[in-house]
Order: sequence, then C-alpha cells, then structure tokens
Amino acid sequence: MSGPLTNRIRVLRAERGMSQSDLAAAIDVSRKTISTVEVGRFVPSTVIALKIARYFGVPVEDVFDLSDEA
Amino acid sequence: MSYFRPGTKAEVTDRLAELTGLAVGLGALIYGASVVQSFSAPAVAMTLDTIRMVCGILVLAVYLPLTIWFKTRFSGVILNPWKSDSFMGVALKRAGLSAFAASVMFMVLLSTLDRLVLSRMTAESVIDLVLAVALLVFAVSFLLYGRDGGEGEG
Repeated sequence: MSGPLTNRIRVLRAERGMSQSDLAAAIDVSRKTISTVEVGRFVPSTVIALKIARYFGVPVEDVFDLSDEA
Repeated sequence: MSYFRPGTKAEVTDRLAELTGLAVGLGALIYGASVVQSFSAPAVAMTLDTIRMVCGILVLAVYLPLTIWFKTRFSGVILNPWKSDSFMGVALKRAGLSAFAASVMFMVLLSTLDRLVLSRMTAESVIDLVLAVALLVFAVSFLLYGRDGGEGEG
C-alpha cells in the first residue's frame, strides 16, 4: 500500500519567486489546478506532473513523492 | 482578468466546466418542476410553469451564447472541458459518473416500486423524474467535487 502523494511545488515556486498564476500560465493549466495540487486535494495527471517537473528542470521524483505507509 | 474575461485557455476551459454544471442544474430544475407540476394544483402549476420558462430562457439566452463564445474564443482551437485533465475537468467527469450511477440505481428502485410509483405516473412524468434525478445528482456532485480546496494565490 502507498501513502498520500506529497509535493514540493510551493517550495520550488518560492525559490523562483513565482505565483500560482505564473506557474499555471507557464504550463497551460488553470490556477485552481495548481492550488489544489499543491495542497494535495487533487492528484494531477501524468501529463501535468511531467509538465511541472519539466518546467522546474528537475526529475518528477523531486517534485512529487509517494510516501510508503508505515 | 475578470470572471467573464479569463486570460488563458485553461482558465476558459474551467469556466466552460462551471457553466456546464450550472446549466445542468437549471435542467434539473426544469425537469423537477415538470414532475411536481403533474401532481399540483393549477395555481402552483402556473408558478412552476414560470420557473421552467425562466430556466429554459436562461439556458438558451445565457448559457448557450456564453458557451459558444468561450469555446471559440481562441482561433483555431475549440475548447472542451470534458477533455481537460484540469481540476475542474476531472470534477466534471466524476460528476458524470455519479449521475450515471445514481440514475441506474434510481431506475432499478423505480422498477421494484412499480405498484407504488410507476402505476400512478404517466410515462412522461417517469421520464422527467429520472432526468431530474440524473441532472440534479450531476449538478450537486459537480458542486461538491469542484469546490476549491486549494489555497489562494501565494
């Protein structure tokens, strides 16, 4: 079994001084999509996950983490 | 960027999803009013008729033009919220699944209650009732799934 999907989008954005709207516009999704992914309410599609990782120039594993349940 | 002037294709697609949910809710009102109308007194029936007419006008005069405008806003592309994998696009698809499941369950329930319900209703009312339930479940599910649980701009 796997635990919840966590992500570092907020940190990566903060490092680059970007808003949710900036990131949303850069990868062609809505701001609501970014905000709900950030808080873990919405699990993004593979395409969106890869777009985010590609935009930040990091492997997708550096953005998302599927933690194992204890 | 205002609600009716979203800046990007993704934002416009989200608006289309929201408009679809709203129009389906109005559709549920139209069919629901039609069912109640068949059992109500003439004075109430007239009020319900007005409600149906207003909802119908809203769908035809507001939803349809806005949808066409949003869909064709970007030249060369016709936006479709059903094909979007955004948060709202997924909410729309989940609401569709919920509505399908609810209508099947409701029809099964109706078929088991044939003496209690079906024998007392006309075929037209039964169809209106099933449509009202399906559309209502869709609209309510979409409202619940599409609630923004994210944080504001940060």
